[in-house]
Amino acid sequence: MIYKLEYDVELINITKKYGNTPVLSNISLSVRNNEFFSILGPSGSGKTTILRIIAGLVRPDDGVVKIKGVDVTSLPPYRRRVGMIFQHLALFPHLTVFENIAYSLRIMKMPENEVRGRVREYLEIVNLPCEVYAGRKINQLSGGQQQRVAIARALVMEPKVLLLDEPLGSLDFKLRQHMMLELKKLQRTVGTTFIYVTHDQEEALIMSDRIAVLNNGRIEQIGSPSEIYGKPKNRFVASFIGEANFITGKLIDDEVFVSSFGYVKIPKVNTVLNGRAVLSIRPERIRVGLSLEGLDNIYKGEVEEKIYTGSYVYVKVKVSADTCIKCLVPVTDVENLGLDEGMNVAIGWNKQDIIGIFED
Amino acid sequence: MGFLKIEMGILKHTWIRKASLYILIPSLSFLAIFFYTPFIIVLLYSIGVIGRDGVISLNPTFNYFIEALNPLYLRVILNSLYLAALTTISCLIIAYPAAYYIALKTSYRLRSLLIVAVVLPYWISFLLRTYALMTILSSLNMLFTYQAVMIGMIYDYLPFMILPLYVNLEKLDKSLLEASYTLGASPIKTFFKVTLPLSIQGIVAGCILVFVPATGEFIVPYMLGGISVTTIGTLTWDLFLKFHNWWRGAALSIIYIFIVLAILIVYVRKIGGVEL
Repeated sequence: MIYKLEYDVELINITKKYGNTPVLSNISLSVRNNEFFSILGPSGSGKTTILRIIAGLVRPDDGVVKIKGVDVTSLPPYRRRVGMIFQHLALFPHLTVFENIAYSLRIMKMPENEVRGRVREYLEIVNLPCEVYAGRKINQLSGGQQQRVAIARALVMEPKVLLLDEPLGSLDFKLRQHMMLELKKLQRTVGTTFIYVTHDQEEALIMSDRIAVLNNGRIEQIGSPSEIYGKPKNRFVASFIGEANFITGKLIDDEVFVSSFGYVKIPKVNTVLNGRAVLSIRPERIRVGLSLEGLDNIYKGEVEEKIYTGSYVYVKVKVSADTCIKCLVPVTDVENLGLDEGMNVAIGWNKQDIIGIFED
Repeated sequence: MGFLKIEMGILKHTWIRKASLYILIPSLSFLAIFFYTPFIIVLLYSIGVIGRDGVISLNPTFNYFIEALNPLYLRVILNSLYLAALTTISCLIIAYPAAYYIALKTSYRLRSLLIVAVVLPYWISFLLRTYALMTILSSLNMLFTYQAVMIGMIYDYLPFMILPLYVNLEKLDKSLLEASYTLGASPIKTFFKVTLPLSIQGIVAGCILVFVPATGEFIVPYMLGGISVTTIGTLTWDLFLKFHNWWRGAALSIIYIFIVLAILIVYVRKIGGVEL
């Protein structure tokens, strides 16, 4: 029987404490071959610790780390052949661009003419012409160029997996947008598995094949970007990724929810949650008009606030004394309808627009 | 002093530049009165412009320099340089692991405690400490030997090596070491390829701080070496105070200053890229 290796990195029941503070509690996850896998979570959720455990820089208290099917839990980092891009890149300031990239190859005692070829090859992969940049010192490079050197330095040793610890955090908005797409393309080109840690949901959604959402040292959900965004498993995931309205109320039936502003028709829930529940819906799913028809749920309300964001406007509609619903409306619609604060409007959605009903 | 250059650049076109010259006045006038004036007097002695009983003669002569450059004195100069070099290298070898440990392997609390321990002996007068060392060395039957001088020199100059090394290593970005590990380098290789090259400025600073005063040291060789060790320091002392030959002593001092200066320039140039 031929055993086909499906996973590049497996974490099995990883637990880590710093002193008495648990950082990771019983984490298990498997990263597939050639996958762009993101670990997304707020700061302090333990995401960097996961990365450091995979790299071997931190020893877990309990659990097993496997890379390409081999248990590496007790191997030091320099025997793991795992590439890592550090948050502040950690390029060697005393070495040139060439020497930085050649570092791992020279450690391996690769013949010098081969080293030269490999460094040139990887400089080209990250779009830095060798003739121009090879001889430069690190402090003669811009932030974006340093990023590329760090990537080339990690990839040149052909690592089993590449770990990235929020590498885009220090770049300005435009450059970050650009690097995101480039990283994604790069991952496709080299075919190496990338594990990317970030607190930025946009980065995770744009680049990843799959995302693990981490909170307080626990995995809340693992799934594709559209699953995470469209079918969040719990309230944390729904609130951490994207904008969402949370409407508190009661389930009185497996298809009817009652809120402070009336009944809401919902997709059939399997388990009848008795008592209080929270219903979640994304602002862009809510339609706003002077009057609406043909939707499962329609309510009347008053525009309380408008927040301009560019091509879209967040419109807060007050539907009951204590409930405002946030709707995302294209600027053109706002202009056509003449929406303004204090106006009476109708809002509505279909029951399949609801992304989840969670315990309160 | 790199940062000073930048500051001066910023200050070039502003009134602050003018004001910044005024704040130099106290230190410059102090140096002028208590350092440059005696130095010029020594210079005038060495070329015989100031003669016996303080008589000024306007016939400068290089005779005292020629006298001071006799083979015997040259041997003393070489001996002093050798002793200073040996002290510097010994201090470096002893201090580096200590500084490395304090800077990189200790908790914050222990670190400050150890630094205090390093400078603690300096709360006691230098002379007193050397006397204490004399007692120990004589009970070991080592007094008035070359080894005794070496021990005394290392003891006195060790903190001047540890402190700059510590300051340098403490600034070392630890993620550079981690990056090196992930790139396949063992801790030993990482030390030689990352830590050591990045601490070169601390090494240069420490070596200068030890080497320069060590070449001119005369108390330690006098008290611990007796007549068995003659250095440029003890020789100058003797020329001035035993033989009252101030002119030759002055010439020897000037020669010494230029030798040390030349060594420093070569040293800093060789290391390259180090800004002082």
